[in-house]
Amino acid sequence: MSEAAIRVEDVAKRYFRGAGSGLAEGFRRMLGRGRPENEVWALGGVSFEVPYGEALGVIGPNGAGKTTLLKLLSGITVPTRGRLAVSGKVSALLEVGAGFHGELTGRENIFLNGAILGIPRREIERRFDDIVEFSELGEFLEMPLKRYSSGMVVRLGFSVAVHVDPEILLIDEVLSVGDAAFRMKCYERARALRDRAGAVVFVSHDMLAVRNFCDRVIWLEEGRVRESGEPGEIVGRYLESARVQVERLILKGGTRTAEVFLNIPRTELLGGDEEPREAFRADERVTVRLHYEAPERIERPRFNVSVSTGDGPPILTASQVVDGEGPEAIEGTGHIDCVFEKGLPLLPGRYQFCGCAYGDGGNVTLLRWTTFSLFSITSEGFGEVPPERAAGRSTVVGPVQAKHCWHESRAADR
Amino acid sequence: MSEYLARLTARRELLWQLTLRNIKGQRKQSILGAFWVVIQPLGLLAATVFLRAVLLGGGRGYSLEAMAALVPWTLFSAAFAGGVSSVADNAGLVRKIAFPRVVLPLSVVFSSLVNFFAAFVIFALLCVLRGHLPPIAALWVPAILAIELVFVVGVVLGLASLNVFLRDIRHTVPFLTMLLYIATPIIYETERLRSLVTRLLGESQVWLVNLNPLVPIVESFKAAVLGGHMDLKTGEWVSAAVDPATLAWAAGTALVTLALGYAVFRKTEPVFADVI
Repeated sequence: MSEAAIRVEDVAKRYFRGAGSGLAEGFRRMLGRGRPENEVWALGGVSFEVPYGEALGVIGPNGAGKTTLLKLLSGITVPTRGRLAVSGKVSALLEVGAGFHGELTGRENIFLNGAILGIPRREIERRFDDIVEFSELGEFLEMPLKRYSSGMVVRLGFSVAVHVDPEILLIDEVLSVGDAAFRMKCYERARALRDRAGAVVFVSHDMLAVRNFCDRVIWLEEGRVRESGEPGEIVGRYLESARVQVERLILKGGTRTAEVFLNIPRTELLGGDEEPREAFRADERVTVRLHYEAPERIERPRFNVSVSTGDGPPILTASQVVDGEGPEAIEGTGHIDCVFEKGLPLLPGRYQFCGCAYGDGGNVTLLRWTTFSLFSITSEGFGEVPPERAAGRSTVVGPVQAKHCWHESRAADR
Repeated sequence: MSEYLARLTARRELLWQLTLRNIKGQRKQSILGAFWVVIQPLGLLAATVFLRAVLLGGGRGYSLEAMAALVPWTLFSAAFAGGVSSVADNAGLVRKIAFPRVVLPLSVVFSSLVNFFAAFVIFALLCVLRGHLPPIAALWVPAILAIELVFVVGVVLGLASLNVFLRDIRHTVPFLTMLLYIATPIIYETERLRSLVTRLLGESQVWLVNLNPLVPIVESFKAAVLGGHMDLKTGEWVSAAVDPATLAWAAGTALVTLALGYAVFRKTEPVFADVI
């Protein structure tokens, strides 16, 4: 018995693209072979270990092999090469509604899903109330699953998956479907499992969640481990590289969605001292400068600038459309500044600026929503909250902070 | 193999749930619902008696014998119809969840036991109507049923896994079912098949008849529950006993089929999720 819950040694997985459906091709596939020109290596030799009591985050762009890795770990498919040892009861949540049956009710599906995960009926019966309570779906239990929303299906799926006492929990993207409150509950639950010396592998594009929840992160790219290590560091570097890609996209930029053409070749973030930078104190003035190119005259352009955590909807927006102001017309090159005079009321952490542009006072889309800058709020200048207590809590307590105070009153002692 | 069996036993709950799902799923969103398990064998019975009358003469008197043959036939055809496509039909599960895939075809075979019992009840009612008392040989029925199950599981395992790679297989199912219905002694007695082969290929080739494992199975079943059959020309009752040698042959072919089907299934199972 080794210490590691999961041990992966030089694991590679080859797929064959779905070309050719002839008899010969069918037989080749049966033997796990295919034409060399159709082969795709989803994973090209990956090694890592997950000890008990650790939550491992897996990040990377689409097509990096994250889902393939989870499929291998859960035993859905087998590696083409390499060795893979998973020791413990595995519970995997790979897709919304996997292992559910639309015609059956929520109640029946709990048992079906439990059975699929290998849990005896009696044990499910014992935990039934906990599962239902966790899912908060009590009133929908007798409704067929096909009438559930995808968020409800995820609730049910996650509730079953975490209540069967897995030693190893594998979670793919699915959680992003749930609402924020339920996600929090799930993280809490997964954290509890990890603290009971279970192992968690968590695949996500939600970088803040990865950073908050995971003990270690591996960054996959093109089927290989590009980097691995401490979450904050790896996530930071991953976002850095994503930013380079986003910037390239913007430079190619300008979508011709209207008669007129608008391009934003460059954006800048300026601090209180008018110097470009990426990290700001929470009480520092932030200027978002959008450099534009308008080869033709654009009537009544309107710009929107939003801040997001990198996942989900924006958490605040400055909108010329909403504010009802903006230039009468622009032509040639120039820049628009959006100034947050009193700073951004955010907890320390990493955020993104995204923006879009409209013409004709907001009636024509000139540039679709695009992420253009990443920035961070440092822990200084945050009023009453001591920085060490605020750091890294932006997803747990909500990133936006308002000035507040607490009052206490108690009934007179008898 | 023992390790796989252990994993399968651990998932017996899943097997049971999927079996229930198959049975319930058949009924949902259909008007006649559960009645279909009765309508199908009754319709087939009518067709069989009709064909018999048209082709060989004779009348309603054949219904008891026809139903005796249709009981094992129903088990086979129901399992065959759903079992071959069982893995491909559950692509969603196979792609997203790890479990011993063998529960998919097995659950179809188990759920077709419902069809078998429905047919059996019809047969029993016919016995009452016609005043037929099954002979002591009817005690063979569980053994014959077991042999048939082994055979059916083998066929379904093998073809279900092939069907993942070559979807053409499932299209052959209705066609093969029809051919087998004709090639198996349901409309006629096994003797007629034997004499046909003797006439065409000579006495020494009669064993060929038993290459279709359904022939000895159906023949043994009829002998067990009827104890004989009505001779078409003389109208006299010809008694027949269950032949242990025939049954042994059936058991042998069933086991070989199971071994082959299982081997193919296990060999190809690891890549189901990649190809499906």
